[in-house]
Amino acid sequence: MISQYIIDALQQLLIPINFITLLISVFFGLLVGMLPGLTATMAIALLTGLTYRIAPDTAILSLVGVYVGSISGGCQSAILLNIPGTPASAATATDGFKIAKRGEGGLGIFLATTSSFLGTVISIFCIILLTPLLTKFALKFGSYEFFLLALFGVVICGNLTSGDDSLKGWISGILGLFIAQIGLDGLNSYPRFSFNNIELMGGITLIPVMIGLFGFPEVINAFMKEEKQILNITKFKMTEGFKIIKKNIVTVIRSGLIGVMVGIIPGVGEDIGGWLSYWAAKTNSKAKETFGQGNYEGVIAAEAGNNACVGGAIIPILSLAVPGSAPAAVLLAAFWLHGLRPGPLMMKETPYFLYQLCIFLTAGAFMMWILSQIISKFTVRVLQINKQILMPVIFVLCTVGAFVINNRIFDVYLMFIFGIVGLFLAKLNYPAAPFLLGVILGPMADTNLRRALVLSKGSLKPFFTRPISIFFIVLIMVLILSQLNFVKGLKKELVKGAK
Amino acid sequence: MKLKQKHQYLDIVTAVVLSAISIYIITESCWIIKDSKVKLYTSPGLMPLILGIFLLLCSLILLKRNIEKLVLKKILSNFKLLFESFIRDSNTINILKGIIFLAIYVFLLVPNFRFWLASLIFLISIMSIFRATSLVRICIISILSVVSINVLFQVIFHVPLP
Amino acid sequence: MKRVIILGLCLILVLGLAVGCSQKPTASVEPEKKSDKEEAKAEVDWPTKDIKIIVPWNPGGGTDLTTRTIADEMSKALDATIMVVNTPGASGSIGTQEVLNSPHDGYTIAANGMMPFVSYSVMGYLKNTYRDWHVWLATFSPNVIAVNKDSQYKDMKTLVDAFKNGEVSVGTAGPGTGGHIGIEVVRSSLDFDYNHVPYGGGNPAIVAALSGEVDVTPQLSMEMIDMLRSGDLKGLAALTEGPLQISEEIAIPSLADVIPEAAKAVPMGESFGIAVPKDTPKEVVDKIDEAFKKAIESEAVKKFAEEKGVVVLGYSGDKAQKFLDKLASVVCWTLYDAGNAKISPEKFDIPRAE
Repeated sequence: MISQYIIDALQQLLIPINFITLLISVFFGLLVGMLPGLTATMAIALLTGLTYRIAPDTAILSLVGVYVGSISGGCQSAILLNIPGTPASAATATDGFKIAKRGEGGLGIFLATTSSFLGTVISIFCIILLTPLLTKFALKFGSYEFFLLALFGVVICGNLTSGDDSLKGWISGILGLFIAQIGLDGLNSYPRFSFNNIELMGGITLIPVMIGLFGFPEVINAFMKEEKQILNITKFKMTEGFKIIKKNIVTVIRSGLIGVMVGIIPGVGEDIGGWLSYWAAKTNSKAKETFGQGNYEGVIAAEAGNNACVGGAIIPILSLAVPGSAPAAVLLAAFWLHGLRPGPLMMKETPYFLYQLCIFLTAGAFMMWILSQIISKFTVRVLQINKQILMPVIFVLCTVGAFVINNRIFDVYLMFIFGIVGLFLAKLNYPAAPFLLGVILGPMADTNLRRALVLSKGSLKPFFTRPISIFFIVLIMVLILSQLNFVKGLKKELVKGAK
Repeated sequence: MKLKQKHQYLDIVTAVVLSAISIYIITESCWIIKDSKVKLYTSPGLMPLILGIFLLLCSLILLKRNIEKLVLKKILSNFKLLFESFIRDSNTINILKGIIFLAIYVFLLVPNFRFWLASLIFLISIMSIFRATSLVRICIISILSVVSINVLFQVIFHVPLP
Repeated sequence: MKRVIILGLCLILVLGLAVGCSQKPTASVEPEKKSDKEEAKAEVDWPTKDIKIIVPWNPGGGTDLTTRTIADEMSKALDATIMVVNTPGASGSIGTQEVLNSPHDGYTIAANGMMPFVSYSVMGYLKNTYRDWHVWLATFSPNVIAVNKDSQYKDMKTLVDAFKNGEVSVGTAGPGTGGHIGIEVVRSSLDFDYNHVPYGGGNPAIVAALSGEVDVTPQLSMEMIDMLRSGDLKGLAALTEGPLQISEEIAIPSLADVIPEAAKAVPMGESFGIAVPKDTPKEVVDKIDEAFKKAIESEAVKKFAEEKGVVVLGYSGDKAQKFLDKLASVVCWTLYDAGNAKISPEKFDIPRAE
C-alpha cells in the first residue's frame, strides 16, 4: 500500500506541469526568502490565493516548494549582507557573514543550502516514522511550558551572541521583549504603552524591526570612508564543501532533530529552531570561542535546524490540524481550501496524503538545493559591488519590505526608528539578535504566562511540578548562573586544577 | 583614551539611561495594573513589570561593573573629552549625514511622492553625494533598480507599493 | 560583472511582462457606458463585469471556506466570475468597511460570520448596524460543549454540577468570540461561574481541551468536527434545538433536551452569510437573491454542510433580519455587560434578549 502511494506521488511529480510548477515555486520561494521583508508566511499566503483554482496536487506542490524555498533563501542575504532575509536565518548570519567577509561567501552558501537540504530530509523521515509519537509530545506542551520556552529562547540567544559577557545580550533580549508588549494586549485587548496612538495600538510589527535592526547599520556602514577594499572571492570546490559537511555530520543530524522538535511545538517555529541548533552545536563543540567568528559549524547547525522545522511544523498539521509555525498555519489554510482535511481522521480517509506530502517535500528540498547553487553563483558577486551603490538600493528594498507586510507607512517609520536603535546597539556592543528574538517571543511569553496563571488561579506550583517545566527552569537557571562572576571564577579554578 | 576605557564610559552612560527607562517601565506597569482592574496575575501590566524589574537589575549590575575604581570627578571631566572627540570624528559626521538622508527619504519623500519617483530621487542624490561612480552610471543603475523593483513587486508579487 | 546584473534585470523584466500579459483584463471600460443605460432600462442587465466578495478574515477559516463554496455556485447561477478576496483586520471590520466604501451596485459584496457582524456597532468599528444591510444567511454552526475523551465529565449533568461548584476551566478563542458568547449564554441561564481561559483562536482552544489543559471548550461544531468524529473530543451537548447528527454513529444531544432549564440558550452558534448595503438597487438585490437560493440548493453546498457538520439555513430578507435581531440582542448585550463593548446597545435600539 505505502509503496503504491509513493509511486503515485513520484509519478505526479514527473507530469510536466507539476515539474515546472515546482521549479517556479521553489525559485519564487528562494527569491522571497532572500529579500528582507518578504517572509515565508507571506509567500505561502500569496500563492494560496493564486493557486486556488488549480488542481489540488499542483497547488499543494507549489505551496510546499515555496515553503522550503523561502526558509532556505534567507541564508543568502544573511550570509552575504548580514541582513537576514527571514527571521529564520538570523542565526545563520552570526557566523555566515564573517565567512563571507573572508571571501568564502560561495562556500558559506553551499554549506548553508546543503545543511538546509539535509535538515529537511531528516524532518521528512521524522514525519513518516514518528508522527503519532511526536504528536503526543506536542500535546504535553501547555501554557506553562510555552512561557518557559520563550524565556529560554531569549536567555540562550543572549548567551550565544554576546561573547564572554551575556549581560548585554540579556539586556538586549529584555528590551526586545518589552517592545513586543507595546500595543493591545493579547488577552484583554488593553492598550499598553501606546500613548493613545492608533498605530501603536496595533503593536510593533516584527519585520520592520528586523529590517531596521540588521539592515540599517549595514547601510550606514556604506557611508563610512573605511570599507573601500574589494574582497577577493575565493572559488570553492563542491568536493571541499561536501568534506566539511561530512566532518560535521553529527551536527547536521543533531540540528535536524532539534529543528523537528521545535517545529512540532505549535507556535514555535523556524526562527527558534535555528537558534537552538546553533546553541547545541556551540555547547557541544570543542572550539566554542570560534563560534561567531566564522565557524562553518555554526552555519551548518543554524540552517539544518531551521529547515528541519519545516517538516516538524507539518507533523501537528497532519495529526491535529494544528500548525507548528506561522508559515505552516497558512499552509494548513491552503489544505482546507483544497478540500483536504488533515487531522485525526486523515490517515483513515486520505492515507495517501502523508506520503504524497513527504515526496513533494523531498522534491522541493532537492530542487531548492540545485537552484541555490545556480543562484549563488550570481548572488555572491553582490559582495563585490561597491557598497555605496549596493546599499542605497538595498535600503529602497528594505523600505518596500517594511511596507508590504501590513500596507501601512507607519511600519516604514518603525523600520527607521529601529534602525537607529540597531545602530546604537551595534556601536555600544550589544548584540541585536536577542532583541529580535525578544520581539518574536514577547507575545508568546506574555500571553502564556498570564494564561498559565489563570489556569492555576495565581499559584506558581504547576511550574515546579510539571516535568517539562522543571526541565526548562533548571536549564534557564544553569544558563544564568553560569554567567555570574564567581561561577566563572570557579570554572577557571577547576580547569586550572585539572591541568 | 584607551579603547577599553572608552567602552567603560559608554557602558556607564547606557547603564544610567537604561535604569531611567526601566524605572519608567515599572511605574507605567504599576499604573496599568491599577487601571485594568483585574487580578494581578492576569493583568496586562504583569509582564512589563517583570521586564522593568529585570532591566533595572541588569543596568545596575552593568553600572557597578564599570564604575569600579573610577573617581566621580575624573569621570565627569573625561566625559567632556570623550564627547568632544566623538563629535569631531569624521566617521560620526558621515554617519549623521547618512541618517539625515535616509530620514528625508523615509519621512518626506516616500509618503508624499509616488514611490518610484521618491526612490529615484533618493538613489541618484545619495550616490552622487557620496561620489560612488560616474553620474551616467548612477542614473542607469537607479532607473534600472526602480523599474525592476516595481516590476518585481507589483506585477509578479501583486503587492502594492508605498 | 555589469553584464550579469543587466542580464539578471532583463530576465526579471521579461518575466514580469510575461506574467503581466497573462493576466486576464478585469474591469473593462463598459460599465461607464452601461450605468446611464441602466437607469433607463426596466429590466436591469446585471452582472456585466466581475463580482467581488470580500472575506474580512484570513483564508481557511469558517467564513472563508463557506463563502468560497457559495460563491462557486452563485457564479454558475449568475454566469459571471466571482472573485473572493481576503482583507482581514480589526475583527473583520476593515474588510466590511471596504464594501461600504465601494459603490453600492452589487459588484462588491461583504461576507462574514454574523456574530462579529452584528457587534461592529457596539464595538465602535462601524457606524451602521446590521439593519442597514440586505443579508443572506447560508449556514449555521452551533456551539458544541466538548471535553476530551478521557475527561472526568462523562455527561452534561455532571458538568453542570461541577460548573455550579465553580471548579471548571473553559477555553475559548477570547472575549467576544463565538465560543465565549456560547458559554456566556449558557451561564446566564444556569447561573454559575467558570474560569475563562482565553486562547488566540478556535483551534488553540480546541487543542487545549484535547491536551487537557482546560476542562471544556464551547467552540463551534465546524471547528472541531473531525475531532468529534474521531472520538478524540466528546460533545456533551450542542446548542441546537434538536440532536446534532455528527456522523452515522455519533449524535450530540441538544442542551435543551438534557438540561431543560437552559432551553433559553438554544439555538446559539455562528452563522455565515453575505450582505450588500441596503441602498443597492432592488433589481440587483433580487438577482443576488435568486442566485443565492440556487446556490443553497446545490449539491456542492449540501456536501460542504455534511462534511463540516453545519446546518444549511438559506435565510434572506425579513427572515434573515429577524434571525439577526435575536442574535444581536444576545451578542451585543453579552459584549457590553462583559466590558468588551464600550457603546451601549441601547444607542442602536437593540433590546435585551428575553
